[in-house]
Amino acid sequence: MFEFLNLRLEKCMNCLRTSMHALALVAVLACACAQAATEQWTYSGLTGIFQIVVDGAGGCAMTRYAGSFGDDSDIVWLNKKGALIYRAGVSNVLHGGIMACTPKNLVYADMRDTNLVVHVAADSTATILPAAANTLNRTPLPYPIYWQRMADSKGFFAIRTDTNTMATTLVRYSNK
Amino acid sequence: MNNGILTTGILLGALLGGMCGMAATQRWSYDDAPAIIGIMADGSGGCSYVRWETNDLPSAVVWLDKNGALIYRADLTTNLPVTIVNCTKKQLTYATWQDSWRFVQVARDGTVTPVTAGDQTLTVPILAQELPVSFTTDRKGFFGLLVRVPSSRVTLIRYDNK
Repeated sequence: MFEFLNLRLEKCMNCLRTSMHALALVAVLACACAQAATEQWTYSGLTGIFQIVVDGAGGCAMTRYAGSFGDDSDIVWLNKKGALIYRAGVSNVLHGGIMACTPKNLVYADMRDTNLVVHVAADSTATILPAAANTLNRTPLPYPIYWQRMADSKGFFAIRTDTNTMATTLVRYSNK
Repeated sequence: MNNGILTTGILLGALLGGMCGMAATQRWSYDDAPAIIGIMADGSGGCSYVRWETNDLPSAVVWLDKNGALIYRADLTTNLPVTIVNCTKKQLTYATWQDSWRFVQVARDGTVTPVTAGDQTLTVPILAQELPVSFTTDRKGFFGLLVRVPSSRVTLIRYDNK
């Protein structure tokens, strides 16, 4: 009987020790979480980032000019881990812009031959939205589409520039 | 008699329904500034914004809680761009130019921490430098600006959707 009670008591003490350890761990983690913004990932090789629109889940899409301002440009879509989902040319950042970005969809406008609205799925399949005969698809706003959003509820994006080489890197930070 | 009660009930219901369907309600207001730009709702009823002084110069970053109480204000000594990067109810991140672009994060208790990148600099996209965008809504309401006549000074107004 006493052996049984001792065994139970020892189990309880073990549980208590485990709980104390867990509490200590939580406290340490809480301290760590109280720290300032933390870098999560980077994406290098993009100069001239013009517009960033977050997807709300840690990823983003951006337009950027590759050469001189107004020249041929790119649209780039990254997921929440910083992996490339889609990249394509746009005529230039003043004629093309991001309309919407979610983890599953990217919608952007461009003016290559004519007004285009392009939908891109998460598998990177791009579909130019068809317009009826004698009509053109364009954004609800006259282009250029001047809006941007650099943050979601958990973090934000910044552009890091190496002042020696002027190389730029997109950086994802978490708020804590 | 029952029909009378029923009719009265329907009318009362319609009246209450009509009252519930009334337009946005002002909850609080803040500031009396020459100009306010770059409002960013925190998603919980508060917001931050950039307060411009005369000559269209950015002069301060202001962060308010859901009751319109001041959490933080940074009076800037520069007339160069300032961009609010992120605002939640727990932290504010903004970027400003002082010799170079600098990112800072402000905690709810007002503690300011630079977001550093070693010996490299952090910037915001070109579009954000040139044209700060306002995000004025959350799920319960929105922010508007009251412009006073004839002074043209501006007050931030918090509205509930109903």
